[in-house]
Amino acid sequence: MSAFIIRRWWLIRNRLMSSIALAFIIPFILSIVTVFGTKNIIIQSINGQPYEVWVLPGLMMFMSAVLITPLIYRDFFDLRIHNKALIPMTLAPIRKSTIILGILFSALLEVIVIIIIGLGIYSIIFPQAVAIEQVGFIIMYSIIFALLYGNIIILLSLFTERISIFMSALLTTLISIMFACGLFIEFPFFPNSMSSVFQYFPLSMVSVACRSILFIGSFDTFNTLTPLAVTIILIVINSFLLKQKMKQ
Amino acid sequence: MEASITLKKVGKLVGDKTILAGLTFGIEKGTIVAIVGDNDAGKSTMLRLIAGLENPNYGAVFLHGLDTEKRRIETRQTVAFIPHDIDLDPWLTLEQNIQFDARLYGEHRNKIQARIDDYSHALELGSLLYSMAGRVPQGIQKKAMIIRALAHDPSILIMDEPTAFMDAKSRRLTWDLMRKLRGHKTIVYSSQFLPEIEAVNDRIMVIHNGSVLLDGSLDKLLESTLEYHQFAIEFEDLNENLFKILCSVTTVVNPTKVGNAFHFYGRSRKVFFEVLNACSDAIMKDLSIEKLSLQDLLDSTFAQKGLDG
Repeated sequence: MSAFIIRRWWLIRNRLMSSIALAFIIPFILSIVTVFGTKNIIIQSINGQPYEVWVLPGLMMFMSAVLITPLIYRDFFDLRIHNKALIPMTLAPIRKSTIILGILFSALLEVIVIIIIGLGIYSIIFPQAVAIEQVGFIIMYSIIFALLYGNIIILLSLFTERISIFMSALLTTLISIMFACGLFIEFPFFPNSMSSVFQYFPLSMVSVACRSILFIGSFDTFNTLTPLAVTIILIVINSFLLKQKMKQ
Repeated sequence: MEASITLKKVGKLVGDKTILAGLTFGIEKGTIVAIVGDNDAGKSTMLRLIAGLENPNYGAVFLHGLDTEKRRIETRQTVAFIPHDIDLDPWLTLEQNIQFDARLYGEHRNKIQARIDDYSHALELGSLLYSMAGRVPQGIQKKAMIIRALAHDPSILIMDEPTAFMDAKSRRLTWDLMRKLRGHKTIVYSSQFLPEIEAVNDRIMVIHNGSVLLDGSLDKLLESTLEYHQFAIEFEDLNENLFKILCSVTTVVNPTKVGNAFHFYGRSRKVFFEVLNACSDAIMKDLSIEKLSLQDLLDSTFAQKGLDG
């Protein structure tokens, strides 16, 4: 695992200025474009939270998804289809699950740092929206969200062979989670038949569990553990798929 | 001698096509084995199977007596593979690529660094080691791939066209390094550069249509051809009639016409004089007699049918 973390650090260090720039620009742009307009349409949540307060966990989760996507795409799709660095990794005397976890967790570390920067930027834009005691929970659930979403992107990366198909599937996935996972719009805004389905998406469960502990003060065991269980299952599936794709 | 690599009835299929068919052989520890053959003969597939990059459809590959499929983790510790194409991470430096890969094998960074220093000195990589992989020529990247393969100190080194993309000096340095490693590591490689193969090998295997056609030392392989010579006679005008007459000499083997030159193989120099008798009226401009080389041996007609075929 340490080898993957060092590799991630090298990748950041080798493009340090662009990494620093993106670490500030991405959270700033996402905060501005997703919240300023929407908070004039959805002034407060159904249980009375101001929109900029309610949306914060969803925004951070979406940010984690946006940030982890290129890191996963590069390692599991770009390098794989171009027969680059992924092949020597699969030849090393380590399990495929170690490769999946190594790449995923090292990418997660980069994401966590930017999420923290994002929370700082958000607290400057909306000073009343970020309560310091809630930061730990937001980061924790953003990590769970990124782990689950990262595995979905790994699955997509390993399944597809063509960049056009990958990009179409990726954009569809990102837009779907933006609207159908309760990140920016609460489920009651959708027709009952749809919201009853959407709230059982594992990614939706993460945002529901996070808001439950932030705004109601109750730990939602089911909605926290189910996404974790799905993540573990996806890691097993992805490890198997990587083995199959590499014909090993 | 102790076998380092053993293949037992190894076969590989892609769809309905047989890429490798029931290969059975062993490779002695510390030797250098060159694999040669036409494109699509199955060389790369065989190397990938030995390296564990792919699994055989049937049969088994053993490294130091361990089945590569059943004892995957242990066998992978002992083997390194250098593919034909560049597979470095373009966003890391050459040194970072090597360090990362060796760390996956559980090697300590100081040991890795010591090996990087040794091998980069041998291959004269110098400060290029700290350049981004994507920004250096492919020949330099290939040298870094060789160091990467050696950085975890494998006992078996599998190389698919190890000197591809390299300039003449880099090729020489690479083969000098391989000669130094002879006896310490088992080296199996494929190459299209026949002079390199003739210079660096303990044994040569000729692969054709997924099977081992010829196997042995260069001297042993050429033994069957020692009596044969390659002859070439250049005429002022080699017309069809003259060519037919020359072909009709019963001792002439594999005659070909290239412009006004008549090429043929013969078992003894006596054949040459029989040909000269047959064309005594024609005007000759030049003639040559050469002993056969690996190139002649690999000529598809010879490889498939033998000189007498």
